[in-house]
Amino acid sequence: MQVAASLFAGMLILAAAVFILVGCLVCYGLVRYRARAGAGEPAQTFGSRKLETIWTVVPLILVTGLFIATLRAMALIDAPSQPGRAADLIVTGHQWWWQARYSNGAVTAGEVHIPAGKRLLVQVESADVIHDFWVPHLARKMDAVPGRSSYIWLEADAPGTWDGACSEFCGTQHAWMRFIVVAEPEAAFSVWLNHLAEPAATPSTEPAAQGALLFQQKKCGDCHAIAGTGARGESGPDLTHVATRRYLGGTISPNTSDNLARWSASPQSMKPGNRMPDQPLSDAERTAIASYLETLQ
Amino acid sequence: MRDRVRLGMALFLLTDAIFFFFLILAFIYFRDASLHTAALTLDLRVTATWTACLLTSSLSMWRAVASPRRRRLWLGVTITLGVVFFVGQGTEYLRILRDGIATTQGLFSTTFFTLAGVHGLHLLIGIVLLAILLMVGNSAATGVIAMYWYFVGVVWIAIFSVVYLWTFL
Amino acid sequence: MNWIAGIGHKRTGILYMLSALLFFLVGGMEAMVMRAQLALPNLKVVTPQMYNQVFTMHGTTMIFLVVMPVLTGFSVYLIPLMIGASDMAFPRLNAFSFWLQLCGGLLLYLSFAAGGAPDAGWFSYAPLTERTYSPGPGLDYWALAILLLGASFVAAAINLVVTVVTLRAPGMTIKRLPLFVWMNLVNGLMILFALPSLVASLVMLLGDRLLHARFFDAAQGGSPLLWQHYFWIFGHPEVYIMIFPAFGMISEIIPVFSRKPIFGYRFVALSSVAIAFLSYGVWAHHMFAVALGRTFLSVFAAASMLIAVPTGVKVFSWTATLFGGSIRLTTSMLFAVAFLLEFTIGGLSGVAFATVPIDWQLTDTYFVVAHLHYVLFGGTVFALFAGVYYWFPKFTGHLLDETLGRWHFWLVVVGFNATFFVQHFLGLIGMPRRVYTYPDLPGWGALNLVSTIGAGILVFGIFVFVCNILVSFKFGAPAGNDPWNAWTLEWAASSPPAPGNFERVPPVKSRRPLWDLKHPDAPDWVHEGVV
Repeated sequence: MQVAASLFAGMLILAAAVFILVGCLVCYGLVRYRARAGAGEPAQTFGSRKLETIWTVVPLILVTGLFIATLRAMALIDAPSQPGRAADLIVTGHQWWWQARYSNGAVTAGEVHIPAGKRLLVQVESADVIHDFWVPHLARKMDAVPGRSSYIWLEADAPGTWDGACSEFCGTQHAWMRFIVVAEPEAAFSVWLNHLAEPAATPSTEPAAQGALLFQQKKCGDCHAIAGTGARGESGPDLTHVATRRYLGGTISPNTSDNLARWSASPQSMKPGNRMPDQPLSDAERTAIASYLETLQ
Repeated sequence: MRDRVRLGMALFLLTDAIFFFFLILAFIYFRDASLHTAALTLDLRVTATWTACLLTSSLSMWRAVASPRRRRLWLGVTITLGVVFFVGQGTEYLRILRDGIATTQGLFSTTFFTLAGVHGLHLLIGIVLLAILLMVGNSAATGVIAMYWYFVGVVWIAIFSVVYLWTFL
Repeated sequence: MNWIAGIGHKRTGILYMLSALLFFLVGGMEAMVMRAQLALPNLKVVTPQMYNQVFTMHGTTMIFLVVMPVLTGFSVYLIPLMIGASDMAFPRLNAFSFWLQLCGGLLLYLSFAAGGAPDAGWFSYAPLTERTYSPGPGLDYWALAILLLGASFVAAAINLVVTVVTLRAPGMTIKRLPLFVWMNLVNGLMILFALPSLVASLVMLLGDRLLHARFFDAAQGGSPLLWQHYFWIFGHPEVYIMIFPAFGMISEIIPVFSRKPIFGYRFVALSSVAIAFLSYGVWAHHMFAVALGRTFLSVFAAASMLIAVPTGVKVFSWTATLFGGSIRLTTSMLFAVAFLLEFTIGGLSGVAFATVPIDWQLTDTYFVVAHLHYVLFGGTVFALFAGVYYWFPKFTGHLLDETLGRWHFWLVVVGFNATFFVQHFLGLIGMPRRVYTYPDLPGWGALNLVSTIGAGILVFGIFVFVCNILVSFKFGAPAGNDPWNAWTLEWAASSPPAPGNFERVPPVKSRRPLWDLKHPDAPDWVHEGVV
């Protein structure tokens, strides 16, 4: 994103210069030409063709320069609208969470891992209303428009973690449609990606096994998919490896036992207005389900 | 005073024309997706007949403006022709709604009925204005209302061309 | 009773201004609710649902129920006076426009009681606004109210254009129009060209929501982008519609308090026409974050940068008017000068958005919120404050108090900049707009807190302003006809003007008829044809 940053720096210098110029002229004018007691009307000047031409032409030249710089930067930053190859990563905006699907078919939500030092082609989609995929330091933002596929480049120079946000108002919980991007060294990323494609293991110990049963009985799988089980729902986030994530609910809650339990039973108290209805679960049931989810590494 | 009102009406018609332009543009935008339905649903001959009535009403309107003595007669003719169009074309719309229920899913009905409906509303307002004019109006007002009536006719020519002629020709 | 049934332009003008002031206070309260909620991370002052209604109503109120009506109010009050007429071309239509506007406002606010106010933002993007995603009635109220308001503004614009074209005093050629009148004339034409797109959009939206149409519903083959294009084809000229009359006010005020004519009348007038034309070719810069194709975006980037040039011409002209003058820093002049600086900042941040790759980071963030408030508040509202201090004496016969004015000025300048300057930084560090709260990231809480405190100071400044109006209306120093020794025709009428405005309209031989009367030895008309 250095290109955008340096363009902004240039723009800032230009803007500061113009503002300082206007500010100084105004302040000087106010002081120098303050009304003096007893003075009559000053000389009535109506304009100056020369001056007016200068202050039309000079800004014209400046914006032309800015425009050329803009074109150059756009060409460097922008991905083609018809890339001619499959995307490395497809992100889909839902009200109010992000889904990520990799080229090996692996699916996750809320936390996107990428290999550091590599430029990825990301396809931006929407499942419902218009969203916007924005990782401020790693890519330009791109509106996710339902019915259209849009493409951006995403690249992190070095390993690290970055915040992402939805940047187009999309309803009640737009504020918490956030996500994180984790850039890892290529080897570590491959390990992560391969693991992501693996189905979930069925737990054998209690209370997780009980939780797995409850997950099935309470029909959680109607909305949430867990690969390797009968749960195939697509309207809610995929939970196959939910235990590996740092956050839940679009980063509104850290991923802890307690929060997993609360999310299972009373999601409306965690993220009011979100699309998951409260579930009638007893304390024991929610704890069991949380234990199960914690095994989904 | 008369010039003021005519200028006011002209400006209103300008803004209304741009409004219709945007609705027609939306129709054209979705034309590809609705062309098939349009070709199956629309009846060019019937609508052309009613169109002829509406265009003739502009002629009678012109007569109403041009001959102050026969003004009320020509106004009556104009209103009659306008009502004929309204009822005739309105019946057409009802037929499309009733018969073509399966074919009216989708974008054709959306764009077509919006355009037709808004035009119909303008026509109805025009008929009401003419009726009021017939009862209480004077020659000055006739000229201004005539501008509106011609406008309704011109907009219909545009709609007819884009929706009907362009579908079939 | 005459306030309800009367149709005189001055009464109608005052009604517009009072209604706008009322809605300004309501919209201001909505802003304070937002700033209270955002003062710190993760507050629970309001629910997310309520916050989303509040920010939508704040924007819709300020644009359609405050700025546009108050500018209309000033124009219908002052334009007949400035052109030497006794009323608008269509006085009854004028009064009707006001009441239609008020009804639209009341209908909009009725939504709170009827199941919830609209909550999809003032530009209501589809398909969020489809029934599927917004099942409540709020958006229906929004669309219907704005249709009423749109009709009101179109009627007022027609009235304005016909008035200026047909009712000018003999001798007042188009080239001799005061710039306030000229700007409003261009503005009226802009309204006539821009509003139809909004009306079409609203008709189509109501069709989708109420009659099973599919214009914007992607799932049914419709196009969400069609809404955006149509809306912004209206929306961009709209922002110029909201500032042109303010430009006109500044163009009257700065010369009078500098004791010199406007520098470069012709360039200022022509640049308005240039901006008016260009404003119809820049709309897609609101959509730079959509994948519309690089060529398409480049064209709009070029037009958006180009439009900065005639805007800059104006700023330089106003500044140059100061030079060689004999400047009196009344409260009105203070606001006019502050306008120059604040509007320049707003304009420059606008050019940043025209720079597409910058837009690709900063659009839909608090950087936009900063930009729009610098041009709308620092621009239009500051110009309105200047205009109120300037013309209040004409409307009421009393001067506004200068001491209270100074307090008002400094509180607003400090409050406004504290509230909005930091928002540039919030956008730069990644805070999206239209969020009911935000995570506790470094700097976010501190900057938001500063912004909220600034808003509190701003509110206090507005409070002083309202007090000034209430006090001075009754007890302000008598103004006389011409307290500022000004040059346009309204200052020849009494304060407030008599029912027919003028017993006899002064002769008009130049742009400054009263200057000519006061300076028969050095009238303006000897310079005509030269400037």
